Amino acid sequence: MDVSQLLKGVLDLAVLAVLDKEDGYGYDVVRRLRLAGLDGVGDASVYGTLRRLYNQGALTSYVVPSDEGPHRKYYGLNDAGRRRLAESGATWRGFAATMTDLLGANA
Amino acid sequence: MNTSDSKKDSHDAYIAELRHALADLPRAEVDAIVEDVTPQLADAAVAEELGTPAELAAELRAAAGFPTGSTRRTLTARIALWVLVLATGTAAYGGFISNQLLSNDARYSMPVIALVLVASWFVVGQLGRDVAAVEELPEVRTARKLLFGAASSRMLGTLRLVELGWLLARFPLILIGTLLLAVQFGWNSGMAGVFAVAVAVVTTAAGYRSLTDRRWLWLSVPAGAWAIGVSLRLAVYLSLVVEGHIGYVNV
Repeated sequence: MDVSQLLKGVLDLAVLAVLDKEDGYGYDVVRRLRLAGLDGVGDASVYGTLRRLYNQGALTSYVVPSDEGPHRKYYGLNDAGRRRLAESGATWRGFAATMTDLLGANA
Repeated sequence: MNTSDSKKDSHDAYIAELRHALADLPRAEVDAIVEDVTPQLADAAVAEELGTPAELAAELRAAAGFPTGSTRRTLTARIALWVLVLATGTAAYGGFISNQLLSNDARYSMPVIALVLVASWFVVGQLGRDVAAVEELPEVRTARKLLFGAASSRMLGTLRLVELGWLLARFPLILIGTLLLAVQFGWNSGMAGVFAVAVAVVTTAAGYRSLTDRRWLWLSVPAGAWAIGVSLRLAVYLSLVVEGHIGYVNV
């Protein structure tokens, strides 16, 4: 099964979950998603998702200077983002449980 | 030093191309995206992952829910097509009324044609070299299928000859039509003649160039329609001559 297709539907949730643990800048979020096991995630998809979540009012952003290179724009969850994470997380758990039941002993 | 200079150059070029690919988005949004991407671009170890600026822009648009580049491309192409249709219709009508002595229609047709030419110019500027976008529009494909059906490539070669022949045939028609129109404005015959020759030469050159660079169609096709309008008018005039109603030139 093509994981990248599945990922499209849940990338919002994955990004929210990563940022809930700790604020991060663009490529940092990409790296942490891959470390968590989502190695098929596309860089540009993460950048686009961050911008969409930000424009929808789920994230805050602030700039942090870096010694090594250009400054980094960090994103973090605000209250709306945390509410959304809770709602989407509940939806996901319900969905995952349904699928697990459905597959039962056959899978 | 040299290496870091050229690295900076390619970095700047990448950002410039990315900005260009996102140019339809609000300025602040493009700035924010560039700010997000820059740390990765500056890190040689992971910069390659971003792909080309066009790929990055396309995938980012899809994930962010921004209008895709192709939506915008189709919209521009559609506007260009309708401006072409409008320009062609206006020019055909302008050609048909070009000898109506002192008629208001003929007087108004000049500024309207000028306006349509400006619109053509603007639209082709927006379209750039991407005339293929117009050819890919579903309405254009359908029209083409209806007109040419299963035209083979050999037939298309013949079509090219027909196009060249038409360029020659329409030259005198454009000349006459423009001359008639210029006279309506009270220009003396010398000035009107020079103007008419200039218009005929420019539109013929545009037609010739349109064989290789399709952007010139936006000037050449209305010019052809103008010639058809003029020849219709001449046909009406000649038929009246034949029937013996020649006493009055304003037909």
